[in-house]
Amino acid sequence: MPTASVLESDAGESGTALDHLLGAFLGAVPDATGIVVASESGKPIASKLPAERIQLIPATALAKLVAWAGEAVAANLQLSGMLAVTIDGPAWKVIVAPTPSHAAVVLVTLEKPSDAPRVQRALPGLLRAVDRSLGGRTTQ
Amino acid sequence: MAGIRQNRVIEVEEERSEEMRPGRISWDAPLQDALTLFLTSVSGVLAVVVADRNGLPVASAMRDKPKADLVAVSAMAVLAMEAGRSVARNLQISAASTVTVEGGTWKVVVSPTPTGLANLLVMMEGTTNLGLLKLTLPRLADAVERHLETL
Repeated sequence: MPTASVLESDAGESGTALDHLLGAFLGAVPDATGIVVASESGKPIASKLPAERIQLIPATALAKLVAWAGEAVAANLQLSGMLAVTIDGPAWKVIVAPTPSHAAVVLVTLEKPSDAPRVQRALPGLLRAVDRSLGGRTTQ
Repeated sequence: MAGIRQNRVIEVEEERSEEMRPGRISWDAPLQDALTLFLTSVSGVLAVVVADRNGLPVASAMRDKPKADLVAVSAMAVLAMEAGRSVARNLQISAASTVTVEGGTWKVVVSPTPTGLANLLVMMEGTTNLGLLKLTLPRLADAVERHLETL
């Protein structure tokens, strides 16, 4: 199973820019324990996660499926503008949010209780910045 | 004499109107009544749907006339819940309890019943009291499970 660092180095220059963005986000949101960017097809592009036995490729592929299913739920209820899907556990939450262009999906892992307003303030800027960083890059 | 009879009529009418109030329905009432009780107990909730573990809708209650394709909604919501569980499993964190789909002015919460026999979908306005929802949803989940076990 590839590790996060290998995937980051595969991503090249935009991977380095993304790496910087992810680091800045984790600095701004102390409750966030990790962050992953996945491509349009659900493959991991960049990540900053604690060094644990994480199955990154299945996690991002399924996160892409979560985002797609969330959008389908909204569309079938005639609700527009899905922003994110939050997966809640007993002591954690994972936010899965598509970027505005839908070129990527961002996963943020958080400890509970988390400072929700701080996350909500920081996340839209990160999503736009990820889009800018991937600008012109063909998503896999 | 006539005055006493008139008072008794008023009492009976009051008793009847008490019975008609949604608050008098208990969680042990039939499934549809339990859903209606939930809908009226938590302000901002627009719809509640019970889906079986295959994603098929079993029962629902809505404030307005349904405008949604419930079969598609419940199938996609159960898919989101299952995929959310798998995300958690692959991130080596404990089991996921709910999945919330969020828009600017709305939220849809998907939550399994205690044994996973069914899933509850709750569609609500963005301003809904989430604390009250989190208190009430487990009671509804228990009630739904009890009802489904008797079928």
